[in-house]
Amino acid sequence: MRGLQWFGLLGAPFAWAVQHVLGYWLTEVGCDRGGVGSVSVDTWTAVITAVAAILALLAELAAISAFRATRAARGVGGTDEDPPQGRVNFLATIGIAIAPLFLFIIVMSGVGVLVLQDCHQG
Amino acid sequence: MTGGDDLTRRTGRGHGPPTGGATRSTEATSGPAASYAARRRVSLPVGTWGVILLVATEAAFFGTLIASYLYLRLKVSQWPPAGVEPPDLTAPLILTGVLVATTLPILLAVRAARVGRVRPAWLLLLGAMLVQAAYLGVQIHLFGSDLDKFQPTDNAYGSVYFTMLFAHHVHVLVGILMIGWLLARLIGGLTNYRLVAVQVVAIYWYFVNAVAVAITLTQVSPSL
Amino acid sequence: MATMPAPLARQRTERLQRIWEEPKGLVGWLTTVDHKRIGLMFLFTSLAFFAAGGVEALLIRTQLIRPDNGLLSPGAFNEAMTMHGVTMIFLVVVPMSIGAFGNYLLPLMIGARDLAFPRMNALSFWIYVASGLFVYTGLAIGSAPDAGWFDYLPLGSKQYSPGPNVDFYTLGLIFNGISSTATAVNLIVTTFKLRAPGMSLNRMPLFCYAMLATSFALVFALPPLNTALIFLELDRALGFHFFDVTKGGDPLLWQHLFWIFGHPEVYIIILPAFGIATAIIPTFARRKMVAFPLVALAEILVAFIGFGVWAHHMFAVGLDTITTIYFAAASLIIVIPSGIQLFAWITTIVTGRPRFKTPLLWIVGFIVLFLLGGLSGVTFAAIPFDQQLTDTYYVVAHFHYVIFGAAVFPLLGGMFYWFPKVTGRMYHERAGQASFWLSFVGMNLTFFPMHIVGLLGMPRRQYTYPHGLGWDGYNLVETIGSYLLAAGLLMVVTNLAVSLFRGVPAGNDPFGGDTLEWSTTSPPPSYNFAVIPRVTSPYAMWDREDRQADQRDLAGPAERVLDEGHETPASSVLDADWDEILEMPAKSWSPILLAAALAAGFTMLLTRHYVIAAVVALLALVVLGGWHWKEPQEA
Repeated sequence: MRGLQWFGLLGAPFAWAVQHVLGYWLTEVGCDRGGVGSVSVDTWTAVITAVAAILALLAELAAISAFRATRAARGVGGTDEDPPQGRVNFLATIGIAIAPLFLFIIVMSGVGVLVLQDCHQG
Repeated sequence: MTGGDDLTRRTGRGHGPPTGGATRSTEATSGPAASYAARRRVSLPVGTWGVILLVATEAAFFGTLIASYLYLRLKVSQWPPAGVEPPDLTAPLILTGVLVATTLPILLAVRAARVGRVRPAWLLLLGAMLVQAAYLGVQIHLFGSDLDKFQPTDNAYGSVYFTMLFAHHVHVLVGILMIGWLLARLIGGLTNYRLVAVQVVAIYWYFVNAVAVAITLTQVSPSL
Repeated sequence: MATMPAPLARQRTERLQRIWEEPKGLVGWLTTVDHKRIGLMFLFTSLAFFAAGGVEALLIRTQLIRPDNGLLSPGAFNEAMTMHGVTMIFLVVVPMSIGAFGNYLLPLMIGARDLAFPRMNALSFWIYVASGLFVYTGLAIGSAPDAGWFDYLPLGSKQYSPGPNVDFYTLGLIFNGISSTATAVNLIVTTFKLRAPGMSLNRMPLFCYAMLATSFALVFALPPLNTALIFLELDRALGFHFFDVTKGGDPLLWQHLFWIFGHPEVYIIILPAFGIATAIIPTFARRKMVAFPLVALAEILVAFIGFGVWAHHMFAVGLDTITTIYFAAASLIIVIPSGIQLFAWITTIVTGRPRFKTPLLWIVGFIVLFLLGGLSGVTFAAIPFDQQLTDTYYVVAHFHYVIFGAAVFPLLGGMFYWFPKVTGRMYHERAGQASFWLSFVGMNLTFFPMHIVGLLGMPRRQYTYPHGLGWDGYNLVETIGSYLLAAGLLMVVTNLAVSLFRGVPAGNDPFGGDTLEWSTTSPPPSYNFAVIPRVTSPYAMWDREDRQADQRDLAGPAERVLDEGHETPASSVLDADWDEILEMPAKSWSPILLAAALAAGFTMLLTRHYVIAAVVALLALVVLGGWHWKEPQEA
């Protein structure tokens, strides 16, 4: 339960942060050299994006799970419950809301890099 | 007045927060009392949170230094630039190993202090400090001999190399001074305050040792 | 409405008063560690710098009132423009937000008696004052920083800025950063550990979430700035080559480091204002905030995603296209949490029973201006559009809408809202409303035409412009607007200054507020709360039962009165389970002494006396060692 609550809250932001930093460095390092190691920038990008997207989806599921486990009892309202129920429900609500947002950024970035091929502007 | 001892509903609606039994931990002015106060806590003390955040800022600082090193490295084809030897591997790696090894006596010192045993804690901290001071002495010597071979004013490699190392050595010096302060304070015995201080200094040192590994690996990366 | 306290209650409050009272007079202020006094010192200092930054703004606008104007030389214009930016950002908005509002209100809102580290709080203030004076000394000797608040390389290098101007900038900002970092750490630890037992995370007011997000952003954003400033000063003073492209350096490294700081900085600027808005709206709409968890999350999310968008300030410097994609994507999505907050605020007002008093007016103005500023901002996420409008007045329009409209308007609204609490007197309502309208009109008149004139191609940071490009009329209107805005702000200050002496007594809770500061007297006593409040929701003041239980506690069982010393509770981070009772420090000379030592050290660095600077640094460490020597129970 505790693990679900924290993964549901932090999993998606973490996935995005890793994809963002790794992806950005990939473009800086690999663009001119046609890739890193013997793998092209596009392949790296696709893999990192896919892993990050899956992580974000899993985080969403974890958050939903934590939310349902602490849903309103006695009609009081999930986040108005006494801690730790209320607090877990509160953090789970936040997790449910943010995971799709981060999934969006992850997918947008990945697709953008794969579609646009330009290493240099103009 | 309240059902405050029910651990599963400690902050129940309508019951109000638990009251009875919250310790005035500052009143713990002996080893056993300090140890008891530490064991009673359910959450990290305020001072520990303070040092954790200090570590966060310094980690961001060293992270930025290392990222700058890597960024500058990627911008050129030859690194180190022509005329500069690649860095030595052995001395930096061995020295870093020695510094990281001082994590053990510090860890043991914290354990000892936690159960109120001041004397062993004091000796362990002293031992760690002496090793760290020796480390710093050797590092300063190596710093000087590096300066004879190339300068920070020669090129960007020199600038970032020496700045990175200097920043690390300053943090080591501050850490040594902190242990010195702690040793002086612990002569008078253990209190709650000093026990938290031991924890704080220990966390700072775990961080410095981790940074030592990161900085050294970066420093010797052209030779790896 | 409050019942007469029983004799036992009165005894206790008198004892608390004796324990927590600080000396009157100058010594009291120099050695204070009381968060309320420090908050007020931050407020007055930042208002003084606001006046200075405002004069700089009026100089800029007057110079630009017509083409080919000769009021300011190019060099003087560069100094005015740079000082305006540096002052407003580092010496006004951030200190006012976290040092004045955060400092004063956070302990009150969480039911605590002070911040976690009261002496470090005082240190933050004295360093702030010293760093502001440090930078303005440059102005006083005719060498004010003049390479823009962002100080791009190679302009900021020794070669192109040979005087000490940029050294005042680099060292002054490093110095100033210590203050902000210390305050941020203080606010975080206070929020984590000093909440009244029972105030679990889902019961913490939204203002506190905003301050938490701001503080975390500061902790991680300032180190990259400090690194950049250290690199620059090393290049300038000792001849290093971080940014020197002829020796393997890269001027773009400065831009990356600066904007990794700079973008989170703008969220640092605006998040406290969001917090103020979310404090004012429920009170005046007389209903709870719609979607409370989503608003809390939005505040933290903006700070977090804000660390991933920095290169959108660099879309026109020649980065690889695929590099820019990551930043464009994040810059587009970051609009969503801001949008969530906007929808929540508007819905709360519309579905409540709003009373449009002065504080709410400023917030409504803020909502309109934030909407406009946010819309112009999101247009920059479209890279081709950004590349056309980089360095034009369109950018100036955007950031003034978000900084002035969305950060300063709530600060002004907050000054009216909490004026009765801090002073015990009410401001003049009619004058307050008039000053809002005057400022709102002035603000739009000044900054709206900048969108147009930017689209017409007028570049920013230029000391003058030629006649015949179609920009003249817009600039004239903008300058007139700036004077109207200045008049509005003068009206605000006059209203508050006069009301300080002539205002009607306000009572504890003139507006029906929802957070705990309204449960104590106006102004609050030195010990904030006689009884540490019981908390069962984020709207503690509206929980009548809890507040009545507190009153009974004061006259009855004493556990939560905590009057055996300088005491406040420490609780656990997530659920605020009561953990221990802390003994807080009292007045001390250490903070002001340490700040003075640091000021001396930075001055030695400025004048290149490095050995003396090192000696001063060791002295500072000695002061630090002495500061921590005395333990709480020995005080």
